[in-house]
Amino acid sequence: MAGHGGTGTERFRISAEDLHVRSDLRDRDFDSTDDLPSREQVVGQSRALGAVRLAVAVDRDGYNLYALGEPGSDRHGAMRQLLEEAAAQREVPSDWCYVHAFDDPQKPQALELPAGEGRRLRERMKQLIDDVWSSVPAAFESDEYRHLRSEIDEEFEERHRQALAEMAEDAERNGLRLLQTPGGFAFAPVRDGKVIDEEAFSELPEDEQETIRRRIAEFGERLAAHLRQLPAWQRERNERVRKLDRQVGVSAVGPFLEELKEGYRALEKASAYLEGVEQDLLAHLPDLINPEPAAPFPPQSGRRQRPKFLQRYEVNVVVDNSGLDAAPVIYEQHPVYHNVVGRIDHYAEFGSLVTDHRMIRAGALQRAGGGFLVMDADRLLREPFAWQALKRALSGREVTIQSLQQMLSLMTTVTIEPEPIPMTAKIVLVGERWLYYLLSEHDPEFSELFRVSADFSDVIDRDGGHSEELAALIAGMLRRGGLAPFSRDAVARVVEHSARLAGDADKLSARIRPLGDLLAEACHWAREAGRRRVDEEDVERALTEYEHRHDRIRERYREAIARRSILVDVTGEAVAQVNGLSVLQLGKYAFGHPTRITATVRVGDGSLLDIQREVELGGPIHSKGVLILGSLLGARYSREAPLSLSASLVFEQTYGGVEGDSASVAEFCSLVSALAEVPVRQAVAVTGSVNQHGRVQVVGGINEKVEGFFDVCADAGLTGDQGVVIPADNRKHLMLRRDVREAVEAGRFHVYAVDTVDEAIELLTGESAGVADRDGNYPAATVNGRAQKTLSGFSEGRARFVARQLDNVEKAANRNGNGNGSSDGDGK
Amino acid sequence: MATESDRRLSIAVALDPAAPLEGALRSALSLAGPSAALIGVFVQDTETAELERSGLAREVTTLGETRSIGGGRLTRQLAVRSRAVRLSFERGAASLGVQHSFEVLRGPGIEALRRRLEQLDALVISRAHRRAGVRSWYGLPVHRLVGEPGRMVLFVQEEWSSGRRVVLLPGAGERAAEVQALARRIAAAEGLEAVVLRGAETAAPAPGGFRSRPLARAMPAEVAAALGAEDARVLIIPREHPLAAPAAFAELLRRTDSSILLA
Repeated sequence: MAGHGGTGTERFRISAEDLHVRSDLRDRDFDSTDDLPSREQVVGQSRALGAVRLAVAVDRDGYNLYALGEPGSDRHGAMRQLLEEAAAQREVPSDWCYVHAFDDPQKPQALELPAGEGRRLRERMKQLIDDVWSSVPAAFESDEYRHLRSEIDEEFEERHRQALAEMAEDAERNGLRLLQTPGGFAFAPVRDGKVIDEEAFSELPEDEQETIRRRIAEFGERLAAHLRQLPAWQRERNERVRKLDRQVGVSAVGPFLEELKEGYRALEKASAYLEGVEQDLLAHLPDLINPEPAAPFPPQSGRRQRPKFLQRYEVNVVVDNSGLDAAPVIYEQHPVYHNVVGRIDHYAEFGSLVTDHRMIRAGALQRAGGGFLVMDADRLLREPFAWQALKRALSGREVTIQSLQQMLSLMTTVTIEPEPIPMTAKIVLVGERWLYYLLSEHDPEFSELFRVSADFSDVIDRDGGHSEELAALIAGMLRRGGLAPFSRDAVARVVEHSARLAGDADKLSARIRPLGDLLAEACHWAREAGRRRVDEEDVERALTEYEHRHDRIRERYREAIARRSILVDVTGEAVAQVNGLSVLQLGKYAFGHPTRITATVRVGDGSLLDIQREVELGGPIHSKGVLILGSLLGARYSREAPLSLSASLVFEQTYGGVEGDSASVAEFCSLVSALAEVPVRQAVAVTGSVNQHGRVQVVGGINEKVEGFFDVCADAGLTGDQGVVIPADNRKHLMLRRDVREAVEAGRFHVYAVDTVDEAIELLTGESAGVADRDGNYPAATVNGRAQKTLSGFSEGRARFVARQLDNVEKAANRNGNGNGSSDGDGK
Repeated sequence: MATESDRRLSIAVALDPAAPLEGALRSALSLAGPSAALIGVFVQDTETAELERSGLAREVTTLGETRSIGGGRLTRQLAVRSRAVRLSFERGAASLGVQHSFEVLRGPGIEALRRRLEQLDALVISRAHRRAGVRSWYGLPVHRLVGEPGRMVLFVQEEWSSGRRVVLLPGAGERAAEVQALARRIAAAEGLEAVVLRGAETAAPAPGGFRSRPLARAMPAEVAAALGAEDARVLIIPREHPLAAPAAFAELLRRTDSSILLA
């Protein structure tokens, strides 16, 4: 080996400057965020924002919006600004009220009124009830009414009395007397002014008795005929009383209602409702004059108890837009069924649960009418029935409030069916991508109802002015949050951290929430240090503290390696043993660490045993990587003969699942080391995936992996030989920590970039990998050549083994053929 | 007429199952003062009983149906009613804390009452709920009671507790002062304002304790209108007043919902 610092490895080494892309904000002409404008709009999301604008502008069914992206990407903030701008261009939508339906009380009527009129109608109806309650009884207690009413009663009574009196007089003339009995009347014979008894009657001549009997019967019939017509008289009287009551009622109620109706003449439905109120009031005049108590045991206050039926004239304003100066933008944070579509409350009345139009409560769909309703898709879908209800409202274009208890037959009390309110809200769902694709795949209505998707990118380009925009956004966030200003370098550090979060030196993270947290925490540390302005060191402190709060598991790993509980060597050499690199993701925190990968080889049938997969600890992508290795080995070393290799690979001391193909370069190097019997430098770890042609490809988590190995080396003591081999295409993703960069700068640690596995082999072994000739043969002194030779030997050995086996089989067959005396003439 | 407060008035309440009892009892108390002793009387009309014995009569119910009277049904009905009204009366009187007794009067209807009235200071008689659509005062011809001299008869309407004033039609002569005093006492007992109805031309000041209300004519229609306007609980008419004549009085009773005391 030429030594790691030699010219052989120099060409792969990445300079310290290239391990991190500093923010160009450091060179900009501003002192602190006080010098920057405030930005409220998210940065670099023109695609998503264009989609939002489209959804907002197109006023057609189905143009609802799904904003998809990762949590923390400030989709809500972006949405809020655009929606509020759009809402400001729209007119304030109507108020909605529920009122009693006089033709079907079980189906309360929905009234649409201009904004602010709902509340006004409610107050005016309240006043009307007060007026009616005081004026109607007064009208019916007036002298005029009493007089007119007594005239009717008098006339009726007089007719009846007169008829009875005439009959009584006629009866007296015919020797009979009209007497009252407990159940009615009777005629009795009279002599000398007295009713005669049976004895006196029997002494009368026979013909006279007969005459009396006949007269009694005749008068009885006459009286019965008279009494039978009394109900008809009574009806006539009642009708006249009703007519009088109506006239008096109209005179008492009319002026109030006329004034009220005048104000709503232009609103057809409201006008019809008020007509209904008038007719109903007039029909209920008796209840106003002699009210049934609202409760069976009314309080003895001496005051007249208002009859319960007056409650039906109350107006329930379910959507009150009186306080708005633009269309509403509603954020429903708790999208349970009732909060979305509304609910019907009940109240207890003498042991029963009852309800009426006053108990109807609007949901977010009604309140957002004419405007926008924003909901979290995940929360909505988790709430039973809410998603179905939303879809029903969108496809039916109306919102129907239906009690869940009633829907599920959980409550048997009588309820109401409020008239649906038109669905005029535009719905904005904010959710993650997987949920969007899941809904698209499995819910056929989803694509119809949510035709616009606003895809918020997780990362944005670092150039194109986005750094400056992010700085302005930071300035805005600081001002809105009442935080201290950040110095220029502090802002630059935040932007650099954003690139690190993006995992790409050329990108910035679109996740604003972690940056917001960083700003707040850096402010805290600046305050702790007694600074009024946040400097870079405060940002660094915030990052360090954050890492410290989350790196307990990482520390355990490092400790286990340092104490040799996990065997990872960072010095020396070993055959068939390579330090691979893994990333462990724990919630929001990820860290890298080395893992020893070992290989064993022997003669076989070309099978490559992936022990991780065998014990079901390897994921499908990892298995795919291992299968590629088999193909790569065969293609490189055994083009003209079967790959007579049986090899096994294992991630030593891993007890959890392994997924991904980023260790495939390390695995290949381990196999080649085993085949060539060339030792591998343990001071160098390697990461990268490999294709069938030996090309090294990019992997994720490159920064965490490099830093993970650096930390383990630092724990053991940096020797100057240690370093990490990474895919060359991962260079652009490097945003390494300052201490790593400093170590590289000082030549105490190295990062190498390779394009091929051969380059990786050379870096790991310090020997030439070798280049194959036209026939695919590698020079014998190279690593590849030695590996090829071993495999060639395996092939020959396998051939010999097969020949021996065939020979043995033939001999056995011959023995068997002689032994049983049969022969088929073939002899095989 | 005895009105001395130290003398216990003898007041009977004519009991009718169809008439509200509470109003009758309260009005009787108001009339009698705190030392009242009430007699509940129930009339079993012997003429009605004769009907049953004659075997001739057939009862025509208020619904216009005809049925025979016999087999002791009428007698049983009267006995049942007698027990029922007695029970109600005794309970009502006891709840008001007033001394009481109960009598059954047997005789030819109004005649039985009239005879008993001769031994009393006053008779209280309630208006029954409408019987066959006609206001009924014990189912009796009222004018025959009105015609009795020297005794008070109080005709109580269905609602004694309603109305806010005690109204007096003033009489003349030596009894005028007594009737005024009676009106004042009832007004005080009931906590009501006392009003006197007087001709519009009357220049003399209203008697002490009374507010004056002009009355164009002392005719049933005008008086009834004045009672309605005043929301009168009770009208007190001296027996000598022209409106106390049986026909005018009966008409007035028909026209007003206020109770009337013939004093």
